[in-house]
Amino acid sequence: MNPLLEGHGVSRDFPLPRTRLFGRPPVKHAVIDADIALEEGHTHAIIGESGSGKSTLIRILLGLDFPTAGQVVFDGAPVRAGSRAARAEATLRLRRQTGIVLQDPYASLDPRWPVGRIIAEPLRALRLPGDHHALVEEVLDKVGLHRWRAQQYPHELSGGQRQRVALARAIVHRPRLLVGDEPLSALDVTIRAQILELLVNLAAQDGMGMVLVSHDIGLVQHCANYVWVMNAGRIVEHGPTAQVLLAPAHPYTRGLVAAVPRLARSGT
Amino acid sequence: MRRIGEVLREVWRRPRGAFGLVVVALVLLVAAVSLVWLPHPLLQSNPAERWSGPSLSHPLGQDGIGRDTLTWLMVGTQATVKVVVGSTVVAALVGLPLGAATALLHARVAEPLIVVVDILIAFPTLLLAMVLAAPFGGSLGTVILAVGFASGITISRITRPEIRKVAKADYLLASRAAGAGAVRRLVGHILPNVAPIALVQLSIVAAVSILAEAGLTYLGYGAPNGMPSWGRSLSDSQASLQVAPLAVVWPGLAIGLTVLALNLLGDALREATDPRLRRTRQPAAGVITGVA
Repeated sequence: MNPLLEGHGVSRDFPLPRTRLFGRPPVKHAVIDADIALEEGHTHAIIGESGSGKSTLIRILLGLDFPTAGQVVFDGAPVRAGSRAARAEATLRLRRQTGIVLQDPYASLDPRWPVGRIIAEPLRALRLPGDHHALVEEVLDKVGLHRWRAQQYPHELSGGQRQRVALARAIVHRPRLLVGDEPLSALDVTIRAQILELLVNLAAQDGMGMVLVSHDIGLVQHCANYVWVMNAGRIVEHGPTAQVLLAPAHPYTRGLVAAVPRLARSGT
Repeated sequence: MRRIGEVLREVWRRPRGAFGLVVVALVLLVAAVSLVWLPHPLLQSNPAERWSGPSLSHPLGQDGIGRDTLTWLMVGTQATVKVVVGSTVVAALVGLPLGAATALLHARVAEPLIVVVDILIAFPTLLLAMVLAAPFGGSLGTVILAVGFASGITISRITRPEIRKVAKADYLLASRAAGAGAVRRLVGHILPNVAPIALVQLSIVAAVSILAEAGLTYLGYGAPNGMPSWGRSLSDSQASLQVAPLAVVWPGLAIGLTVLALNLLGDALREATDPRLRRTRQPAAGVITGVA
């Protein structure tokens, strides 16, 4: 199967504040020469510790940040190539086929917009045809929220409900690839399982590809079938989940797997 | 628009907002009435009745050359409305685009602009008005331009960090991922979220412009001699404070009340436009139990 979204030699440098009056300011290499290919219909996971560059990489792939080197290819065509118009066209195509759920549901919803308007934003911004009102109601059903919630504002919802709204916004335009950038980290432990189940079920139902960016190995083991491991900006290892987590080849991955806390089994 | 009606209803629900709306409406009404009807002709004066106190035909008394105080105050309202509306509009037109530009444009453009703003902030409004008045002469236009421009600069300085904060928020990233372009994000997300700060600042500008008109007119840079304005009435009567203490009260009261009303109105507007401060809208109990 051809990959839907690829990164070829993607690097991203962030300039840091000057330390000397003359000379170049120092840079932080957030992502270094990353090659990645995400297929439709699979559940990928990008894992690594905080600051390993996994969020930056996925944002570059989704066209929310730009690479300082390298190329992003969507559906076989480079996204950042050719004239301005061609780039805009390619970005629009990318946006129509992808959706993202961010980490913090308290920050990712505009406090001044009612839920219905928030969910309909991709439909309006991407100028998609169809009855937007009906599509919003349909997606509210899918994520398990009452239809009257469309009139409420984010501050009237709980954290879990907010993340359901964020998820509804990410899938209302029926993307082929759903990205979760640490979608469970900010949630209560009791809510996590519900949202995770919802994510997995929705992806399976619509045959969406899914990418989970996470540092939670247990979660990855549970639902991803392909894993990319990042450390200090580089992809150090990738492969099918079972292979990478049970027999890690790279010392960093070994450390990561060994660091997963396990409850001691008593009695038996 | 339905949305404006909704906001006004929210303002009206608050005591401060209701007070502000009533006073502002009254000022507008008086200004409108003064265009078609006056208790006495504007220029009619009766020197024999200088500084006479309130009477049936002159409810607020007469001024130093025997003109009707109420008539002059009513016509002066027109100048106040012009100054308030003009200064606020100029301040918004200068301040908001400048604030957005310094917050959102590339550092190479924004940083020089910020330096210019910081230098201009050091200029007192009165000094700016005098500089403007030197070539153009004192007029309401001078007051409007000076107050509007100087306040606009301050507003840009105050809104800049707020715009930056909103621009960096996660919901703007989400909006970009949803495909929203720069204009859609600015109009749909950034402006509404900066509106509370901007509204309060603009209501302060509106209030300050009344005081500035009075101050500038007093210095001779505001309304020209012979043009009725609250500032003119105040400065004229102030000279004879010991002879007719009551005469200074009326323009003072008009200025004070209107300034207070505008401040309270701004505050109420800020709350009314924030869904978090509105009364929570839960569906009526029947809607939920009705389903079961």
